[in-house]
Amino acid sequence: MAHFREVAHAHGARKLEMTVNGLQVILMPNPIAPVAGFQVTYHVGSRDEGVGHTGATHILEHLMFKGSKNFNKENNNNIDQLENIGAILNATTWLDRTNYFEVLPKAYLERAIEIEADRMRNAFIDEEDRQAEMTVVRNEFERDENSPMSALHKNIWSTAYIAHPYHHNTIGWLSDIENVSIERLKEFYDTFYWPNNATITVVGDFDEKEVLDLIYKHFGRIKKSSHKIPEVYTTEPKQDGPKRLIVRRVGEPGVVGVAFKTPKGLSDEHMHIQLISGILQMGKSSRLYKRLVSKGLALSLYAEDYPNIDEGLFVVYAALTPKATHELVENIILDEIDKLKTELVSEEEFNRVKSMIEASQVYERGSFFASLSQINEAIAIKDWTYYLDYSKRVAKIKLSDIQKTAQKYLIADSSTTGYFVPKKGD
Amino acid sequence: MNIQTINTEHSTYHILKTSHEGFITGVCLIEGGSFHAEYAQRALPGIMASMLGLGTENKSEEQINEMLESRGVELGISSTPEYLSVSFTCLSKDIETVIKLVIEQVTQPRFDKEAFDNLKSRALTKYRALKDDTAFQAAAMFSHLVYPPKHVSRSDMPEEIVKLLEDLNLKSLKDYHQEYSSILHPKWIVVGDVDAENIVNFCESVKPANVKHISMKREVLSALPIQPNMKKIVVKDKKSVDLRMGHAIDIDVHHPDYLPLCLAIDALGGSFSARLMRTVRDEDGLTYNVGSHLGGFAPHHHGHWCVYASFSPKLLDKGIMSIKKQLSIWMKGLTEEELSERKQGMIGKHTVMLSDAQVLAHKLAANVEKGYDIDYLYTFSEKVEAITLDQVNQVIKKYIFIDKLSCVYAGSV
Repeated sequence: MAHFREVAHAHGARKLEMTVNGLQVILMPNPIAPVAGFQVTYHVGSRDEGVGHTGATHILEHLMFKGSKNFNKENNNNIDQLENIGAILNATTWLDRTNYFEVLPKAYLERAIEIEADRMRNAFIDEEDRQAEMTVVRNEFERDENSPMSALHKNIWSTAYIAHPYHHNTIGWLSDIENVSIERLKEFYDTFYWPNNATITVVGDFDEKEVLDLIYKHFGRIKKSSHKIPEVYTTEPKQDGPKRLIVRRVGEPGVVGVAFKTPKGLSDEHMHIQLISGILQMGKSSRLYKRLVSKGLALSLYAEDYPNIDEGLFVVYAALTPKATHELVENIILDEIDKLKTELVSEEEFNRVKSMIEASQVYERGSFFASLSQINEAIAIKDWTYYLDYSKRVAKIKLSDIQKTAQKYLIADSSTTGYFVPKKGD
Repeated sequence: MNIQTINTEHSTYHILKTSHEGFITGVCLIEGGSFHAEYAQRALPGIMASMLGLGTENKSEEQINEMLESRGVELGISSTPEYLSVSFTCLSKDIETVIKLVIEQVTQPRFDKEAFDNLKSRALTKYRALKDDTAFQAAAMFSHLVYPPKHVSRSDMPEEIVKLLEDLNLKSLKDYHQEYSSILHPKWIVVGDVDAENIVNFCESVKPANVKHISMKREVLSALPIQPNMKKIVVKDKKSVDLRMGHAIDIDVHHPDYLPLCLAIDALGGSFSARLMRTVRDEDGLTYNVGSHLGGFAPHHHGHWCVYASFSPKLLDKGIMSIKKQLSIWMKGLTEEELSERKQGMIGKHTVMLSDAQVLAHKLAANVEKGYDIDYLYTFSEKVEAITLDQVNQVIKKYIFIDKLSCVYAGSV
């Protein structure tokens, strides 16, 4: 503990800060198996990109696997070699954060720690790798474009936002993926990849003192950034009327997406939005499942209702069967949203959604992958206890809160409605 | 951790208490998979599995969903080649409710006409959409080049599935269910915060009195002879092409060469550190996704191996050439160092995966389905450790023929 100060503790987990460089460390012991999970979350996402370098955060994530000063292919100890001791590892980039994680037998935890520490400031990020990886990322983009749901998702977000960088998808625009320079990527790395812009999480079976010693041994030598980490200051202007769009492409099925702007992720009102989403589409007892899927009008439902740092989107998607038209399904979605504004939800329905949320929290604690994923999203929105306190916060929500939030946010003037309309392929 | 296996007159229980707190997860396997339906009615088991979730004689679909979701229970019913598979996760306090409901759903389905029509409509939409799905099209056509008609591992093309579904009616579903009008020798796999004795006693107290076996309706067929083949499927307006290449493998999962072959295929394309990802993706930058796996291997059957990848249409030829180059190098065999790394990787990954209760339950279910001893979960590591370099390099030469690959690509090419 000599090199750390405890910042907070909650639900058996602790948050500490490395005094020398500001690195945040969250310890979540859970000795259910001789396994540990290690994760570094950087507070940088596609929100931090501007015109001409959309997708840079994600390309950089790919380049981070190309090697660093002490761990690389030449030394035959590049990070992918962790798989040879049984590690399951990967990285993801999203709107508000980038994370790198390894879940591995606990005996090898130090291997993950030292590689992550080395690539925090010593990643190669060179042009030859960019050229090879650009086509890899382009294929990732192309695969995504094959899906009607993904195509509609990208178009809804880019229509809903005009100023805020949530406007562009995390993978970026194709021309930016193809043309972003290595200098720009290096600059991005040098701006955001610092200990004072990162949070480490350790879950699983480990000794707290030993793991803190290891973290200090490998990350303690990295200095904090000499510059202030930039923050996004762009605010999305108020939307003054409904927006509509159509994506017409070869591909089945047709899809309807209805979106509304939401409050910031950490607000109580966003929690209400998540409950609203549960009432509308979570499980087979949900209102829209009964009216759309059980009635054969929709194949499936899906919602984006996750919290973001800034004002995000709540989107309900329905994939249509041939029995349905886009207009009919849109009207049913809007009808159910109207009911939430005019009638109080029943206690029974409300409790059902709360029970599903509470149970899923218990199940997720039984999986290191789910635990890491949850804490990662909480770190991204800058409250590491967000999911640890989730059930407690949900329990406090009143029926009237749901109605008020629906009335305030689920309004036509802040909506964006999109149709994916299949075009004949033959 | 010790798995308790308990056999009663009509049921088998594999129960594993773990350190996971507050919840139980598991799988109930019941005879009634696709082997048990005539070939012409091969869509029945899958639709039956979905139909079982849509109400019982005494409870409407809505009542069942309320019952489950008000407790946060996750329950799914699906079909595998041999079994009807019911997977569940619930809080420990709700396990008896879940067991009782599973038995009721399986033995007393409601067969509501409107629910059936809506289910059929959704299934038709889903399978019609697959004609635009390049990954599905490539995989299904690949199976046509490897397996003959009526083989259980041959996937139907979207238009074939649609035809089967269009011909399906509620009466055929009811008749099929009549063949096993009571629960058939269930195998319960239960993992987590569980008391074995309570589970067994409760299951035995609620099981139906009349329990029977059902016969296999599908023949065990051989794969097609291995010979070079190439098929192109054009799907318009797609930015990415999906590729499958490989051929049949003439052994089953019990053959002593199977595990060495698994290791050889893992070294070729099992993960980021495997050869295909390190070269075709990492060095050549040709794809986001490339790998290899063993597939098919339904119970009592042989299977296939396959390389899968996706490419931009303009990089397809280069991609195929790059894969073939790596296959030629791989055919020369693994090195001692590579063998050691892959072994350690497979053993370590096995440990990691078993930390997750749901994965643990499904691994146990998969082992039961393959006909492995239940202890395979624990003997796997020593079996992998015992594989020699000579074994691995011999199985590559014995079972892989890179001059006789079946190759399919689907997309805007």
